[in-house]
Amino acid sequence: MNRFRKRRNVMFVLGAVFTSMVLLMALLAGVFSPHDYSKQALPKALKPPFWAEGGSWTHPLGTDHLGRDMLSRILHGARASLAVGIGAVLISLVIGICLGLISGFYGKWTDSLIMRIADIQLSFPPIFLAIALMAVIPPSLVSLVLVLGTVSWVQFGRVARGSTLSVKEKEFVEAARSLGTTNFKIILRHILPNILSPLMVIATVSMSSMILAEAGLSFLGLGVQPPTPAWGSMLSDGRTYFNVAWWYATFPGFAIFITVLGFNMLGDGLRRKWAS
Amino acid sequence: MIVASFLCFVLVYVSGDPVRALVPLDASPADMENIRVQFGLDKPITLQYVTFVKQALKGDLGESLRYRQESLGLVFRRLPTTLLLVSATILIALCVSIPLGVFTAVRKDTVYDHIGTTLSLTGISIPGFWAGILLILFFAGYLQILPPSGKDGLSHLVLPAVANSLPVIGLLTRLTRSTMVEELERMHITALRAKGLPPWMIQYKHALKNALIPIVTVVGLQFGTLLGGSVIIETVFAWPGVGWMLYSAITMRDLPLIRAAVLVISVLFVLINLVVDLLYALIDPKIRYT
Repeated sequence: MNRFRKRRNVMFVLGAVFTSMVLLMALLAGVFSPHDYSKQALPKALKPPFWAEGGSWTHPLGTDHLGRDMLSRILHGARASLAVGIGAVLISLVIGICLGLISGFYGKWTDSLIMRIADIQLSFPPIFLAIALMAVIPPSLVSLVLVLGTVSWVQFGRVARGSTLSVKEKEFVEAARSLGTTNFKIILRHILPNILSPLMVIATVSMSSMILAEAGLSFLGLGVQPPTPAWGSMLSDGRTYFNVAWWYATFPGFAIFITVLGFNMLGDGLRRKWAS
Repeated sequence: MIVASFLCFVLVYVSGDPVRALVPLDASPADMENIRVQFGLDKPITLQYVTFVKQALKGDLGESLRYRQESLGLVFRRLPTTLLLVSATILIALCVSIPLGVFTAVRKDTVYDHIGTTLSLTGISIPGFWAGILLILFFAGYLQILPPSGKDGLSHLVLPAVANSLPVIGLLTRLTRSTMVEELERMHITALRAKGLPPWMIQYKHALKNALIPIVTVVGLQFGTLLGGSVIIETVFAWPGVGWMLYSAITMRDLPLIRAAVLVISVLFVLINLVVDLLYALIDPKIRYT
């Protein structure tokens, strides 16, 4: 029992450490970056990181094919990833909560209508839907956030609906109603606060899938556009140079991996915390 | 499927004026009008949709702008290649994750379990395309024992399938572990244990059988997700499937081809979901469709 509790904390703490690290990277990218992330210097192109032969502390993680500093670009790349992740999760959370509450509270035809829409949307893999949409609309940070947010509301909607269904049968809702409280107020004051905790777990975990999706789309050139640095597009550029510059694709990918792992661990930790 | 067709139709419209994508930048308004009439784009939008569906039902989604060939045919020719990669991925994932899941479930809360759980969480968090690049770096660049890209025999399948399977392995191991943990606590398992049945037989024959239903669901869903995700992994490995073709169609703005590829993958996804539903009845006699 003791051991189990210990492990749960480790998960949660590690997740919190990783995610706050990335958050700090994003917030303080301007302070920590040794160089201007967009400054090109062709003579210094494809320099290896400091511990490899030919590397130096001027560019601790080496440079890319245009001589830009890798460390600065990775630090700034955290901004794009987190902005897209947080924005998209918020949008899908809001859509999901609204539709889920309406669907669960009012029932009947509103419920069937919303759930059918959810079913239809579930018949496409979200990442594929995002690729297809981003393929035809002009890619930008805003369109990316909107597309990722709208394609992934269903999981929030379903959970919100399920919890609403059980909460609305509770006595305090009945009490509120007998006092003449309006439906709108019941939903906002009495139901919403009681359905939030499972949604927070999903939100944390879906941060990781959003960041993965952003990286994938940027990798395909459908996400964040240059000159804004994004891990996905750096990976895709680095792929071309894999036989001369192994670090180019390795480091941005590692950044994605740590961020995603952090959010997954945090989500797992939260789930266990609230389950016990 | 109706929705899929609608989606593909709408896709072209949200991209802006399709005529503009077809003509050179300096085309005159008169030229654009000509093309509009030629492609039937001057008709009302509902009529256009009806024509599109009619044509699509006849298997005609228009010619690819780049290959000058029927786009649906192009997609179908590439489809087996994609399905090969996806099936290999699922196969690898099942072979690794089911034994691993059972192993960790049996040793719940031991060191092995912790290692297994951490590994599977790592698997879920690895971006498949990054894993792909690392594998290329190591096996094709450093060791030079496997080819980095292309498709020419079984050795070319190994790296993309392994890279693609890592997240699936993570997911399925977790799932197998949690359902097995639940199954192993049931009464009939205790009874079998009391009867003196060997542990492997209890685990694989009796407990796993009941744990299979959620696994089948997720494998089915993963099949669809992998089809959608094939765009990325196929691009990394230059694997000549539908995904890579869709990627090049996107970069070339080859709209008929994009439409055909999206339609085929969506329809396939719906069909897979149907097959999964029907499989339930086979595994679980309690479920009957009337």
